[in-house]
Amino acid sequence: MKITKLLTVLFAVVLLFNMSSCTSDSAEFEVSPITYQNGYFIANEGNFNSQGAKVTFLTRDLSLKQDDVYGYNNNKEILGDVLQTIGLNGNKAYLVINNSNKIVVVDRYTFKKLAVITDQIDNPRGITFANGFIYVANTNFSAHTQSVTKYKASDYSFVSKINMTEVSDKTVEAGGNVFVQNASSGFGNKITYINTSNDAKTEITVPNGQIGNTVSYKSNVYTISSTAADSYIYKISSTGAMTPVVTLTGIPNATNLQIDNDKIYFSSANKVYTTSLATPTVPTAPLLTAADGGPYFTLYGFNVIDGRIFASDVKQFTAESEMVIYSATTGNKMSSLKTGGLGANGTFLNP
Amino acid sequence: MDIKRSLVLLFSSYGCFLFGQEKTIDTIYVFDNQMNRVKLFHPVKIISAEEAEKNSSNLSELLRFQSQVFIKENGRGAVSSPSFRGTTAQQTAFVWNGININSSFLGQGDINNIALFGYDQIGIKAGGGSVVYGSGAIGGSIHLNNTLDFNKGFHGSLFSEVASFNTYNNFVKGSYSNDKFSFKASGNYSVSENNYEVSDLNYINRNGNYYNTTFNVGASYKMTNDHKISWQSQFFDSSQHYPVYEETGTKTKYKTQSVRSLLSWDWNKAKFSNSFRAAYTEENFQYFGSLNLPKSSGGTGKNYIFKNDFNYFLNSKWNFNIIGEFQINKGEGYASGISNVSRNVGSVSGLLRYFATKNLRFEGGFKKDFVEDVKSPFMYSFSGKWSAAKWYDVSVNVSKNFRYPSFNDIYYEPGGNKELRPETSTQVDMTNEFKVGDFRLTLSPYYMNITDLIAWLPTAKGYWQAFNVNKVESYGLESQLSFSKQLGNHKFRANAGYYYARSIDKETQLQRPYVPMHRGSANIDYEYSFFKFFAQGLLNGVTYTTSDEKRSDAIDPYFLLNMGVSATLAKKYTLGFKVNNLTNTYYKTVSFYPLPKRNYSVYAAINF
Repeated sequence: MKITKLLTVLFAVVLLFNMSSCTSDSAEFEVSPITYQNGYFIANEGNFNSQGAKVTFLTRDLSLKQDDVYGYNNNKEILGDVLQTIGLNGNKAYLVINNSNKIVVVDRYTFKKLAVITDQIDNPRGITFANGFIYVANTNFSAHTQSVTKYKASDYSFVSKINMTEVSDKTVEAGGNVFVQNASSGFGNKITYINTSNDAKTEITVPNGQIGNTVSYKSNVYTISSTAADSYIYKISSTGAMTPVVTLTGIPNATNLQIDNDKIYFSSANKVYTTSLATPTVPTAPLLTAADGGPYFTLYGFNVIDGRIFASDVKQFTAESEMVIYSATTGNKMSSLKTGGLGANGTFLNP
Repeated sequence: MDIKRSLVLLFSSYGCFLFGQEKTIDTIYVFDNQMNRVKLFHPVKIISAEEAEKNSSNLSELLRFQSQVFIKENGRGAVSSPSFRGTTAQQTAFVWNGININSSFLGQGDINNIALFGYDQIGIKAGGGSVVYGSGAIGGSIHLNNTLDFNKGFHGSLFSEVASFNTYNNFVKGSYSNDKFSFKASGNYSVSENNYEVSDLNYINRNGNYYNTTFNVGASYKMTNDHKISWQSQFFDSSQHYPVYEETGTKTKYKTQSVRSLLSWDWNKAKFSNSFRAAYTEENFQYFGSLNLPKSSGGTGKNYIFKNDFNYFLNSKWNFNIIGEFQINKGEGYASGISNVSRNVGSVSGLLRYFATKNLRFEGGFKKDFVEDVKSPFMYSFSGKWSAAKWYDVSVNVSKNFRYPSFNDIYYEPGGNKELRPETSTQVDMTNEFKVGDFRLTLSPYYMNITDLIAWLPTAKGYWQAFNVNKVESYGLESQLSFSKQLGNHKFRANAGYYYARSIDKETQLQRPYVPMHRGSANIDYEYSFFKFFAQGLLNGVTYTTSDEKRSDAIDPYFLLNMGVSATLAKKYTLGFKVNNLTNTYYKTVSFYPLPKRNYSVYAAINF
């Protein structure tokens, strides 16, 4: 009894605690904003087999943040075990909780829970939306089963399950069709194109390398693959036709592909590179070099939105992550903040 | 004569407050023959089989309430690991009858998969002990010992308990001995639905059910007055389901079976004793990532151990001890990253003891290992113990200890690192013991410097690899105040302990996660003719769960209280009742894995 009361008071005190500073280097705490409109959601995975999934909200001008917006708006409820990604559609946000086998649907302005999708969900990893339907990519590594499950966006009812033969990870939509990346943690070289008119699937294999990341931009899908020597970017049209974009000779193990404002961004180890989308070339020098917080976990979360690069250092999952925000044009550090959870793996725009 | 006197001295100065008779070495055979010599210089807390019944759920609960070890348990009955003096789980050695039984794959003891019942005594020894007990004995060691009596005739006992959450613990033991032969066998079966509810979190411990079965058998035969041949075996089988936080969570389970066998030939004469032993230990485990499917991963580890321990008294003051050991460690994995590995280890240790007077003694020891694929350091230990006054004893120990990289650390594909060095620790500790009337106060400050801590780090190639990375400083104080009094038929015992543990990662200068800085415990035992009462209290301070000392993620302090009463009729039949977590405290030792609120048990025991 006494302890929970103390926690509530503590919570309120933390939110009221104002840490102002003269430089713009740290975000300030404040009383929670009335809505979460016009800002960013930062997804903290939490450790595996621990209920550490948390979402932090950051205002679009980078001045204010609030930790654990889900807990704050849902009676301190624990979100779940491993927040894989956040999907945004209409006025809802879909929190994909991998090891709890559920998708928590919240109102993206108030973050209040609206529904939970669990039917046929089996270790979900990716989510996208097309034609009034929700498509979820599931991969159960222990049972060696993978599928894409489809739901009606209006009432979240289960529609159908498409069995997949390969690992099904990040999922994007382009031109009304769904593309599932058949690669995870840098292993895999296929993308499955699902024609949403009949849910027929076609497997597309990239000619070179193992896929690092896949994104959708202006109705096309772009993917980056690599070897220990070079890397490659490919474009796939909304009807599944693949063409090469650029061969990044001499840049090994590139991943974290992002496209913002017609510019391509990607990383190799802790170096971030950029090139033009329309006339891509092999960059000779990195745009910026992020702090090396460990060989693989540097840039665990990497997104380019609004001309800003959001790069997270997950401190080997032993302490809360730090998100550093750089200017995407100059590569200079703009600000940094603690993400309020372990394993910050992505930043999502909530307009 | 003088030799026997020094050995008898150890029983009178270290005799735990047992209400039973003290036995001399002639009529009791202890498989771990080094334990008696270790007790000459280091305090060892002994928990009898009867005292173990106070915390009969599992070994985690027993260690949590009856020792200074911090136990980190992922839900009751599930994965559990020890932290002795702020060290890691791999830095506590579990020793079964003198044989180190830490998993060769993980390098640590999986506490809830180590049987609780079936031992005659459990010994808790803090501080390094690699010279005698090998790899992992850095923070301390936990000794699971069987003993065999002679000339006792037939004895048997039965223990049966019914407890909350559909928990049943049953134990049966029988023994027979005459002056030449002794035999003892015991069996145990524990099972639990384990679906406890914690309303504070709206939590039900779903998928937490477990069972385990143990069978122990031991025999000893005195071939002649000086030669004895003895055998002890243990068979263990368990199945644990790992709890899920909510109904949709991925349900998994883990099964393990282990066999341990020890054959020992002891030759004892007045001037020397020699113990030759051959032991075989086997661990099998299977992990099921999906309940309805066959195992996802697993492994089998087999160890063949040959050891010869020669102890010689030059005269009543000087004693030297040479131990030679040869081990073959084999491992085979299933979808665990290890295929088939084998490692040969040879080692030699020497100890020299000097009994200057009956109040002052010293010991110096060294150990050198010869291990395939691992550069092993030279280990040493120095101890001195001085009974300075009737009311004051002091001992000081300095030692260098180590822990091998485990099979997973070296051979796992991908990520195993054949260049790994063992973790080494240099430590110094002191024990001050004050005796005034019926009170005894023990103060033990300690300091450890641990280097080359093995950690698994992600690499650019996309997988994790083991590296020697961290440097840690662990220091603190263990203190205990005991009181014991008998007035006619009333027997009263109380003790209180306070443990201060700092474990600092040298790079960040912050307290390492899951090392509570402050802990306290208190125990009371009261006995009057056929009636017994006990109470155990535990206070655990703030425990950080992240490496940045973030208070909002830390586990809040908590206080636990257990109590029990029992009545024994005709010295044979006992009926008892226990309440655990009397104050109904919400607590956890690992984030998000609460432990049970108030729960009860009823037990009956027969001893004849």
